[in-house]
Amino acid sequence: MALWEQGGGSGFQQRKAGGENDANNAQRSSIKGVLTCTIATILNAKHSESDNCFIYKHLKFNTVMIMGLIREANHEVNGSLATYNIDDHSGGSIEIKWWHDDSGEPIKPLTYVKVVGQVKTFAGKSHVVAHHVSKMHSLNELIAHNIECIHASICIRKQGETSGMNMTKTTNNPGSTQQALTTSNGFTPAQNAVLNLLKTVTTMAGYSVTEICKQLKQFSENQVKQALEFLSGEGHIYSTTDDDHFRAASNN
Amino acid sequence: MSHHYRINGSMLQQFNEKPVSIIGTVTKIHPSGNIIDLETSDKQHIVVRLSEHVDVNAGSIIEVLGNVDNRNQIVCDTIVTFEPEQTANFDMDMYNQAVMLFQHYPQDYLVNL
Repeated sequence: MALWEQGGGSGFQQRKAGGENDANNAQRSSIKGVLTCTIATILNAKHSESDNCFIYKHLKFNTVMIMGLIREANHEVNGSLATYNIDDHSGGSIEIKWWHDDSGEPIKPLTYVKVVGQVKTFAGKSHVVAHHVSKMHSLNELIAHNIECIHASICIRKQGETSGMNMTKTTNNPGSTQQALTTSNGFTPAQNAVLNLLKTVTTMAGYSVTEICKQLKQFSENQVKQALEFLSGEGHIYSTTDDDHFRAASNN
Repeated sequence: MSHHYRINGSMLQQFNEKPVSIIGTVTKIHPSGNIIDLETSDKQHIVVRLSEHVDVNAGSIIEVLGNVDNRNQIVCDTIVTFEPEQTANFDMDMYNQAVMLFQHYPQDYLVNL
């Protein structure tokens, strides 16, 4: 049935297939990048309309990299579509649709392949539209892939934990010899002190570097200068009459 | 198709009656052609019973998919063979370590139980 015949209404009606290949949708998704994962992950994932991605536990994805054994292979006789059912022993198998050029021989069942593609759902089932399918080069590749699945999961889990727990960002001044201590707003002690001082400025000219150093005796001139460089680079302060005078960008 | 646990020889007993996947080297093929001896990644020797005769060469590395029976043998439903180039530099020790790794991270190696 042609697309415009579905739905019974006049004109074109968009199907509510999750993750449908709609250019607007793809751009709205903030989940970019490729997730190395097991097939079970994809089969258990639910499509989230709000996030426009697939979610399973702590994993969010649209594009995946999987490796599995071809159980069934179907090659269009006069076309470029190959459909494979692949199984990576994580429980269940998934269909891969691959539109390929005529390069090489069709891949046979019981060969391991690596697939990179987008997860789509249709009629309640998930499948992968592959943009890359290759035969496994070496068994080491398969083992490495499985280890990578674990690694990716652990990294993502850790990312989720740290962003939930604390809001600090460790700032690292290049070449700085000061300790990477952070205050509650993510600045080092020197940066915080300089910024707070500059917030008390009442004149248009602000404070000069020498004045700041005089006020903040606990920091070396070098530390003050580096703090100034960082803060002005981030936009928290700006120079006024010359490069040696500064004011804070906001006074709150 | 249910989840197959990746195991080595010494883990056979704890996976009694469960579906498993084992990669190993074929050491002996019984004359009947239906039973093969496999050396696993931890240098154990196990017996694999095939439902039908499969063409494997002694000395080749294969993957066995099947169930562990109560005699500590594998009742095999699928044998996966590889091309020589695919197993030429296979790191069996690394694979053995990986097998242990999969056991240690059940919350990250996600499977359908």
